[in-house]
Amino acid sequence: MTVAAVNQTIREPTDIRFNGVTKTFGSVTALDNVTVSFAPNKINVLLGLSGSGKSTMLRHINGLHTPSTGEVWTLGTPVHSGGSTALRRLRNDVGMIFQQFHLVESSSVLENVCTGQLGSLRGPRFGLWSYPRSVREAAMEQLARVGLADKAFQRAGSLSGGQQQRVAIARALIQRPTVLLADEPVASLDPVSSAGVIELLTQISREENLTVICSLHQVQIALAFADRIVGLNAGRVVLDRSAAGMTHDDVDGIYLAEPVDQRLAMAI
Amino acid sequence: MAVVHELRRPTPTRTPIPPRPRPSKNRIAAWSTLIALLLAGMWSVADLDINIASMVQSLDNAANFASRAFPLDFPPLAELLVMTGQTLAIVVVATVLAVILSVPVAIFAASNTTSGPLMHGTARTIIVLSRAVPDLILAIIFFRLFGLGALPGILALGLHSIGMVGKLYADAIEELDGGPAEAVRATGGSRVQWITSTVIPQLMPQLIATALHRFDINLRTSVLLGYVGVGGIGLELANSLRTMQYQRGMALALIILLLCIVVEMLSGVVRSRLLGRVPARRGGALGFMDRVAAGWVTAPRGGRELQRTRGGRIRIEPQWDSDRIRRFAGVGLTVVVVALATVYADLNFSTLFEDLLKVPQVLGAFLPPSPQDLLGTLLESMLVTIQIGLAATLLGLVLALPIGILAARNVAPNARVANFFRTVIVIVRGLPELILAIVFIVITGLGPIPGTLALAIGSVGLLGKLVADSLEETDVRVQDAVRATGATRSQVFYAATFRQAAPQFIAHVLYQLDVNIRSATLLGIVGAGGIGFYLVNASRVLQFDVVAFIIVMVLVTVLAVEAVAVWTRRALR
Repeated sequence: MTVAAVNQTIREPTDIRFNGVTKTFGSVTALDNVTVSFAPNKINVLLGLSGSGKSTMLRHINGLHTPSTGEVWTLGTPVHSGGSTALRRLRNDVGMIFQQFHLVESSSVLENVCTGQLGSLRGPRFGLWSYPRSVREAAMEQLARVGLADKAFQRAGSLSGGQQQRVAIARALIQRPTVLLADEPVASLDPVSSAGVIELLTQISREENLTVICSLHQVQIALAFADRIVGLNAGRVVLDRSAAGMTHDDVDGIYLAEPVDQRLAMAI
Repeated sequence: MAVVHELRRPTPTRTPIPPRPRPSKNRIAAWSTLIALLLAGMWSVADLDINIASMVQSLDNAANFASRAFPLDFPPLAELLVMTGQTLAIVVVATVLAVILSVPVAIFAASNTTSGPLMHGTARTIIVLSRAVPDLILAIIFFRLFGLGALPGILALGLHSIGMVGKLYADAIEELDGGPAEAVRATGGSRVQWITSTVIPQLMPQLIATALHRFDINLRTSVLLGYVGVGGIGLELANSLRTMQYQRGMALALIILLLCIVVEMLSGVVRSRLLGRVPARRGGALGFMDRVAAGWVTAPRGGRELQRTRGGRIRIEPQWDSDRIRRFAGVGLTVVVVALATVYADLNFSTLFEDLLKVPQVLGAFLPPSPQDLLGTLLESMLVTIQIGLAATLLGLVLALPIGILAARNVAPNARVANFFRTVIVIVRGLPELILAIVFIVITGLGPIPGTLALAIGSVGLLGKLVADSLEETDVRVQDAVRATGATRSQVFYAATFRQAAPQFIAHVLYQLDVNIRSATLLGIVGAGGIGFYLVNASRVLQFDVVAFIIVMVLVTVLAVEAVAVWTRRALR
């Protein structure tokens, strides 16, 4: 492939691609020369120990972090060199949910969902009534979609963990994103709520044809949920393959202390 | 077998005792500073002639005081309402002004919301300076600039409040959960957007609670500012004491005392509700009313599907339930009170622009600072001010330590004792220092002694509370561990409880010293000794270069004391 052809594929508007990305925080190397691309319109799951670089990787996709060296292309936007306006426009197309939900607990559920629209609204907002009626209606529709229309006017902090994560999903959906990033979305939830949230994520990503990139701890859930699995160890990609037919044993290599054993190197 | 023998009876080897590490130079310097401060405090007490003999002497005066102060001479009710209204209007508007100015300052001063090192430094400087310049001095300057009226008092109180309010807001912002802000950034929200949508709502309870707390403080200070012409009940008090109408003065002092207590109680209730410390369920008729009020209008629970209005649009308004009605009533009442206060304060902005044009000219009157021929007197009275602060802190400490210890629930012999001393502390905290000072002045005459006594008693309120709180916050497990060794009650107290709280004690005492020296400069204006007296005199006879000289002296002293306090606390941490 010629350089021009490579650039052509990089600029593909549905593409998410890391090109030799290294990220250091002080003396800690969080990502170490990572080159990887994610499958569009599929569920990509990141596996790896805590501190292996999963969260750092996700935050590079929407430019919450920028690489120390290397290139990150998301939906045709160069994240590594993007100005704040370009990044904000990109983030409007990329939804994100978090382990700790990150809702404003003292605000109402509906207002929290409305904050998902801030990327396409101008000026500061404070309070539910500062959002246009159309935004509030859209927020209500998304809440109904995640099954929480009846909780719209409660304080977000009064909801259970599983419900709060559903509100966070509604907040991401109101952006009408093409990509959804999920940083350990079920790590703070009990097994029943986890299953509910994963089911909801699967259903929504199929309906909306989303590109999902989700970091997970639980291998079992990952194998059932993922179309593709990317394994990280100490900031390096040690596994990258389709999840179809994968077993628990195939995944175990990711967690070995020494990254890249012979078998995995072959697999890559 | 020999090996086994060896293992069973190992030759006793001595673990070498490591040499005791030498204390760092900073620690030695910090302890020396503390000892020096203690000696200075003792010297101040002796030098200001505060001793049992002079107390006994003044007991005769106390009898005189009764004859001079009673019967109390209350002003007519209508007049009283007008002056109380004036005071409250000024304090409300000043506090609102303080909050409006403090929020942006705090946002730039908090490390997680600031825009860069330059704005961060600027905001922190504004906070330190506005706390360092006493409101009294600001009032004198603003009166010179804007003439009589409510505006100088409001500006003085409002700007000085930024020091405390801005700092508390900035600290609160730094402690907020940063998650929601990251979530809004991830949706493409701008800096302004994530601050207004996540930081401000999270800050709201703290924002209102601090504003109410500052309202209490401003109310007390506004009375003091009456001495330099800020209108309201403080002005009347100053006038009647100046003309020796003690019966009228003491009546007004009593009313101010009641006003302060009522306002403090009200704001205390609102604050504890806001911060989630809802009082226990009440019994009897009040409890019945509570339960009725809580559920008197409940919204119908909607289903999980979209709710539509009769017009067929998606319902996006919450139902009017009792919670929402109460919230709206609260917001509405606040708006009405602030609007009324603004109207009643009768601000006159028509000459504001002209007045601002006078700034260079007014500044010219203050510059260059010069002591004229009063240098010796001024330095001496500045020293007296510092002595008052030192002596008051020492006496306050002597009183506050036992009271605070007995008020701590985990140290007091039983709950009743703890509750009793907690109540004592709350009552003392309710007493405005100004009123104490005035009462002591009427008893003992003008001079540093009434000022010292007033501040010492005032210290019991704050220091006693801080001592009790830091004892209650100690780690119970350490106490249990020491108790498990068979230690007695007092051994547990010294080895575990007191030992843990000691660094905090020192920090609190230094903070109290800082506060007392600031207050000592102010109390001088009512005749309680020290530099304040000369400050007001100089401004009354329009010697603004002398005023400026005193301002510089006070600023240098206050900043130096604060620097010493901050440094010592850090060195001993």
